[in-house]
Amino acid sequence: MADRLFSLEAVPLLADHRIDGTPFAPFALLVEELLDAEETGDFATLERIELVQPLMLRRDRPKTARLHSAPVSGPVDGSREAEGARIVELLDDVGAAFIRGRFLQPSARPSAGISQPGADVGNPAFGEGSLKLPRADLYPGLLFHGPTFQADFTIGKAEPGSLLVRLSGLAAVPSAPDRLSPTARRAVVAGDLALQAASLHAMSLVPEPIVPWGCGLYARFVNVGAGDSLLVRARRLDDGRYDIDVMVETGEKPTPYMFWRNVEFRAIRAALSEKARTLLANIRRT
Amino acid sequence: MKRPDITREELVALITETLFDVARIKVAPHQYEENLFALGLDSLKAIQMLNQLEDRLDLMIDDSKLKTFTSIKAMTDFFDSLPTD
Repeated sequence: MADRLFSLEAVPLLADHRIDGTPFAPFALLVEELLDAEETGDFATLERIELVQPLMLRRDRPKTARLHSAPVSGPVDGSREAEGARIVELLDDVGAAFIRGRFLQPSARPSAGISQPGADVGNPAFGEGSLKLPRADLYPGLLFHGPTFQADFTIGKAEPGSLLVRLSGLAAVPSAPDRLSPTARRAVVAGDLALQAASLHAMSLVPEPIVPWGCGLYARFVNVGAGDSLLVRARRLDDGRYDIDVMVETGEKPTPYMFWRNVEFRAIRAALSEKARTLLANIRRT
Repeated sequence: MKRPDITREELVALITETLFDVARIKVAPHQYEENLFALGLDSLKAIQMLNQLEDRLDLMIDDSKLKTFTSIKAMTDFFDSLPTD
């Protein structure tokens, strides 16, 4: 059990992740906090991630969460054994979870649909028909994020039901929270941006503000280096959830970096401006 | 946290006024047990409402209460049940 302080001083990036003025811990940050409870090796994986309640700093008040990890008893599911599997949770002061997920040992980790670093993931199609969305058009009208979580979006051609986005002009990796490694902090920003890209696709279909609320699998290669830009492929599944692949552009070819599977978004019951609705209509047409 | 030094009727009036100020939602007495989200409150307005209630009642409300504040009656019952000293 370890205490995790969430405050604007300890985790300054929270100041750039406000909804209606209230700082909310990004889903990607909470996931990386869970992963920090375990030894991940070269490939960090967490399954069945469930946001139970948002971790917010109402009126900028600090909040302390407890990181709890416990072994899973019995089989993980019908086909896999739970050897070494652990439930990791961030708990509030009365023991209720903010978020929980299941950590699997390397031998039990799924690899289906996960490209290895260096794999040929194809050439992204960004041509004449691409839609450029500079950050000034996106923030804060459509996406609420501050500079740490902003990028310029270029939306390329993709198959129906999916979105291909190049994210460029990423901010420098934040230096805090110190408890997370630099690679984990970079993953927080990249992960949040990837979720933004998928949420744009979802909002272009149903124009209402949404936030990530759950995820079947999150995995990332720990040792993939930072690049100037990221490529995100977000594919909408039949049930409205999303599979998201994130690649780093380092030189000529993108390299696989991060994977989100079965991401569930939930509406937050707030209004969208007319300008935001127009932007979403443009994305839908692209 | 201490019970606000006002009557239950004043508590109800203050909560309904706050709801109207924040979300422009009017709730009639026969709707006091109805779910506020069904009446049009959204998550962000609910947070604003909590902030305003803290100011008007001069107390600090734990975030964990947010999910239980689903109706005018639920909110009134919570404040009304706080110890008086």
